[in-house]
Amino acid sequence: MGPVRALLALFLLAAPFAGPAQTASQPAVPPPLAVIVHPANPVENLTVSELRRIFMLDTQTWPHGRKITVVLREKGQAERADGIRIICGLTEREYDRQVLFRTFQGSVNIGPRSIQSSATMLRFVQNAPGAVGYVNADEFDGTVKLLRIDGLLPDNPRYPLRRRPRAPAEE
Amino acid sequence: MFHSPGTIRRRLSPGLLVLVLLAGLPSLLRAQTPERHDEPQAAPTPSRPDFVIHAFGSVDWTASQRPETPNSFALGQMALFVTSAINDRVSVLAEVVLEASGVNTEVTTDLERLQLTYRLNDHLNISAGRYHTGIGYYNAAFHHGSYFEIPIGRPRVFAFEDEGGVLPVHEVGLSVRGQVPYTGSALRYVAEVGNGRNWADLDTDEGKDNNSAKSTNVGLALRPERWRGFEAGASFYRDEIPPAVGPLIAHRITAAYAVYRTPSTEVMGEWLHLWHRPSGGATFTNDGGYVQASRAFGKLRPYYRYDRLAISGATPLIGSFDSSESHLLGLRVDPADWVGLKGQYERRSERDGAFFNAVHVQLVFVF
Repeated sequence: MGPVRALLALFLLAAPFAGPAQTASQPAVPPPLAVIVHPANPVENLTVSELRRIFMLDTQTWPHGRKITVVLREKGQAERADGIRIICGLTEREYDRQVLFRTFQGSVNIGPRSIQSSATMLRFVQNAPGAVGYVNADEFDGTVKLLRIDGLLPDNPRYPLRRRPRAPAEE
Repeated sequence: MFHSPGTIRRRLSPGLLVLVLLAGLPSLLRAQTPERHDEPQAAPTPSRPDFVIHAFGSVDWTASQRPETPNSFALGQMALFVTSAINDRVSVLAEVVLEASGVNTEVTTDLERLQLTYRLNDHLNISAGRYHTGIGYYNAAFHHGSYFEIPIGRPRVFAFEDEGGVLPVHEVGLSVRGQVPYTGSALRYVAEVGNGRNWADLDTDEGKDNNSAKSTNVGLALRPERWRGFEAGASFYRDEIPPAVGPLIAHRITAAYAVYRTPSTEVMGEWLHLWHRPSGGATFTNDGGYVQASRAFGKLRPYYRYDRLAISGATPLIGSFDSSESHLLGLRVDPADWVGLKGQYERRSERDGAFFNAVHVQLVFVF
């Protein structure tokens, strides 16, 4: 056995012992975002770009004619920044500026609603026929309708609204 | 300064202004952001209209090589912006501009926009009232609050009527906007019918037309989904204008533009062609436009604008308006949310070939 092969074998043997230490330092991955609507909403699926247009307030009515009410989490909450970044590709500040710009143009009358908690979000969407909001996938409780995004549900590994791991300081 | 005949302008004493502001204070305290904040048992159908109010303000400083204009601080326009959703389909928008006079002892108010909008769906939004005409891009995108504009001031061709502008920036009438069906929201249209610009000073008949011919404006805009931030479009405006003396003047405006706007980058170019023909007379054509670009690097945003307006002196109605060509170079800094500070150098040449340099500083804010 040459010195290179010996070194390789040593690394392979050491790998199982190095594994647990790496896992312990890996940041936790928050659950993906589950997009929710009123149970009576006939929409089953949205593409990522359709969802983005809804949250950017470009699309303001559902195909069946009802006005869309976009629901976000309160300013300053991590869930709000995550939702805006994943769905719209913007920071919270950029999104707020864009909403005010569109309001000032007259193409939006009232911006999104802000909701304090996931429980309130679920209750609000359950009671508002035109509402669309989101919760962490593990907080979905069946009282509202879960939308497929690009034909996928949150448990699918290719689901597009997955969040990036949080750094330890964020947890 | 030109007085805008179509502008609803009243003079308020400071005491009356204070009363007006105090009357609106409870509403100011109740709703100051475009978002609604809901209690856990939020009712989805509110018992009263949702109501949002914002104010846009600015403080300016300008120094110019022109001997007749000493360097000076000035208060810019303060735009009070109110929007309310009466119900799911009907909303109201109002923009009232307060301007301090030169000696700051009196305030003038302009009702710049007042629109009642019925929103049937994404394809059909009908507004009635006073609005910014959908000529080109800039006029309908940027209004009186200057916070959202990167450079200081509007392009010369889009100057307001009471600041020597050549366009019918405001109209009273009907405006229809929406997305063209089956285009995936990529294609948008606007169609407007209004009184047209009133070129005679008719203070006693403000807001009313002085002939039966109505102005019309149609436009199309393309926003491809795959090129997020890009928009290209064109519009065509026509009107018949009865001047104070002389024959009826046929007026046409063609506009074309391409813009790319994202939170970090802005590249905009727009060109307008103005056409006037007195009945039985010669045709006069003029043009104007601008190209501007900016890029954000953190809180710093350098920008440049080339701005041009060329008006032939013989053109009816607008022949006496200044032609100019400007290069603007500036830097915008946003030190805090909803506060912007702009510094700008301008090199401007005018119709007679004279040129001058100027420096502008502007503090803009929203509250």
